[in-house]
Amino acid sequence: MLAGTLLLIGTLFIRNVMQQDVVRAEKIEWFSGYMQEVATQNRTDRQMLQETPLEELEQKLDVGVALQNQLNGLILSIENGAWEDELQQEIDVYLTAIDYKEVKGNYSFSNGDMDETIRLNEQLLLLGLPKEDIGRSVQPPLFIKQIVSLVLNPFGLTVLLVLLGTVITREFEDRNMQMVYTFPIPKWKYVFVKFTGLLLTGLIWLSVLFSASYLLPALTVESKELIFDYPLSLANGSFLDAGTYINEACIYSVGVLLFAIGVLTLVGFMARQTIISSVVILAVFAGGWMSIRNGMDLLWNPFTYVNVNEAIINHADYFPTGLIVLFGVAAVLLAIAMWGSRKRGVS
Amino acid sequence: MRQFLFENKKMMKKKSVWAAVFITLLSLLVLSYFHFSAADRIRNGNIVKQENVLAQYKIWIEDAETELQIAEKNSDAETGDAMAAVIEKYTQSIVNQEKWISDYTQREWKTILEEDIADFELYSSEDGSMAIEGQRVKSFTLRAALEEKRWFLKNGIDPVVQNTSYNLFVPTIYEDFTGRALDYWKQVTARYGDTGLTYFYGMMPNFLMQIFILIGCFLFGNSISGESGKKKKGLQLHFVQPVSKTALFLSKYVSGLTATLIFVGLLVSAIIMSGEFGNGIGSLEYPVLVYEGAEPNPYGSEFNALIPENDQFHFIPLGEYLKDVLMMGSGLLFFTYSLYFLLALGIRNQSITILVTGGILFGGMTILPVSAYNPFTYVDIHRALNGEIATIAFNPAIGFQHGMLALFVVGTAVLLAAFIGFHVKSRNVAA
Repeated sequence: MLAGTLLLIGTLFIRNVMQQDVVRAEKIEWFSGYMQEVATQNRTDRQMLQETPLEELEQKLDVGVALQNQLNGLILSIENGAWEDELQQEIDVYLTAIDYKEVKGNYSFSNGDMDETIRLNEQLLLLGLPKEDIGRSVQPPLFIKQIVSLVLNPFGLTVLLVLLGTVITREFEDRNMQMVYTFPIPKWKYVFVKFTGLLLTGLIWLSVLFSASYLLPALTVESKELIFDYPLSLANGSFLDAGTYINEACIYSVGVLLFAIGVLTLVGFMARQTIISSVVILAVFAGGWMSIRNGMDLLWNPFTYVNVNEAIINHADYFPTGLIVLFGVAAVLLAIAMWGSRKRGVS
Repeated sequence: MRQFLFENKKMMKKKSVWAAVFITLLSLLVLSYFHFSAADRIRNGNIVKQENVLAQYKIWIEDAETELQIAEKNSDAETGDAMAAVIEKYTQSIVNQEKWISDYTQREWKTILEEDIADFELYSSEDGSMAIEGQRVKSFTLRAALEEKRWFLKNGIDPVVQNTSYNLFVPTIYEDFTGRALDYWKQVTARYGDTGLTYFYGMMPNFLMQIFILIGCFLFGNSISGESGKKKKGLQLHFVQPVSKTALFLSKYVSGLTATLIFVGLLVSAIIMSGEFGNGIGSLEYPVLVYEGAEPNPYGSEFNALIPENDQFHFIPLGEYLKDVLMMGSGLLFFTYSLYFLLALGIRNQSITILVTGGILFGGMTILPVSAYNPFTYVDIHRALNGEIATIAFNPAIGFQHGMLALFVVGTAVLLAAFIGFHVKSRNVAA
């Protein structure tokens, strides 16, 4: 499991390193598309002005030409890798594009998106940080965010639990339990010991996940100063700095792990068979995912937090109350598992 | 044959397998019930939204009536006439709106579709267009949405539930929205099948069939690994019996394969039958969009590009799609089961075997180059059958026939590898 995790982190990091030039090429392609769109309109407007001079059209052309020039400047900044110019010029482009739309020009990027990008760029300029592609960054906190999104979700947790689940079910399948239950220890205590053991294993896995995601980029790529202050956009329109995001992600992931191990302990000790417990865990997490997809991402629903990244980005106000939900549900699940196995023997 | 029946009997006697099958079926039905409840809620939400519009019209009429009375008091004929026109306009709107709500509630789609078709004819005409947050909807999507509506009208099919009740778009690969436009597009094109067949069709892009196959392998593909564990050594007993190793291998392989096939069939049937929680099983005539692909550029593949204005498509009935899905699903099942069986010879822990099998399928699908003879290209059955992969790869050879061929040829090769592996294992066990 650890080897698989390290392999995933390593592969993703190499992919991100290799994608750095692609990110730049894609930015150029993206803004070139807009420049072409504006240039075409300018050409048409010029022709129309020659036929019938109109003040309104002239105004549109003036703004259009300015926008085209700014886009050209922005593309040059990206090509030269001058990130401060790039950020400032992107702000200028969007301010002009908003004006351009007001004079009936067509710029196919929404005003809301442009406003958000302007605010982000201003923040980055204040911090003295270049803009990163969140899904392909090699900077430590943003790479950790990518790993969190990729691994700490219903799918990743199901895989983890299916692998860990055999620790309980094999004891029954190999009939080790017949011997264990003859020991002078209460059965509930044995359940608790298993829970603690699995939790510790999970915590070790989590610490390896976070440490490797941090150390790999930190040791191989030059980290930017203040990169932990990088602003991340939240669903409510505000920003959260990357450092706080990672703190919340670490805390949430411990809570989610506790909840997941609680589910596993209950299902494992109730089902006692690998295939049954695996199928039940799959069904439980698929159901949880479906409930979130259908608008049940409520504060009291523990599955809201199973996708750690989405919980932080979409429900900033649920932190830290969500942790109480996770800890509470985990405690209830563990209590049921201990109570359920109190008088149940092994055949 | 006797060996095969013996293996089947052994499998049938395992209570844990029966319990797992029962739990899977039950979970599937419960999740389906949730799905249909959600679809129903969204449908009711659409009705409520339109009722709110109706209430708004009534408020505007009341306001206009008040202004009309004031105008009459002040002998202001101009305002009076204007207000009378407003009242007349909104009264007509109320009639139309009430008719719409009644039609939508009773699933009388004819009038709604006719109005929608008229709108889409305008959008997809040379002078028309449609934009979301300033980003244009591509011509391909507009044409596809129009044709889909015409199909609905012609064949008397009900559209599935969407988060909007007008301008029902069909999502296509030609769209490249960004930012808020993308979020909005995802929201309005999310489709919730309200019949068993449309639910099944809607879940196919989410790898439903592949998940069923993997669960089937997990439950029934352990006939060898389950008998060669540290404490379970049933396989050794088989080797001292007067049974040929080939017969032993084949009986174990075929019994598991047959059980997996029946299991997957059962789950597919269950998901289609679960439509009874919603609006019934549905119609096999429901339209399925098939991409016809773009023309490769004569100057080289680097110049290949999708052309939304020119690229073509057609629709096929869901029954035809279902037949192809079941056949290609059988091919994929054979390939996946053979792979699982091969891996299970070396990995005793079935949880690891299933994760490795899933990892190979997913890795092969995403990392290996897309090609007509690459079986991993066909892991995504839905996109292989509707021409999406062929269109994006500019490779018209990717399709049903090549897919079946690739899956069966490579599946057979994997089976042979498993057979050799079994012989090697049997020697090791004997030693």
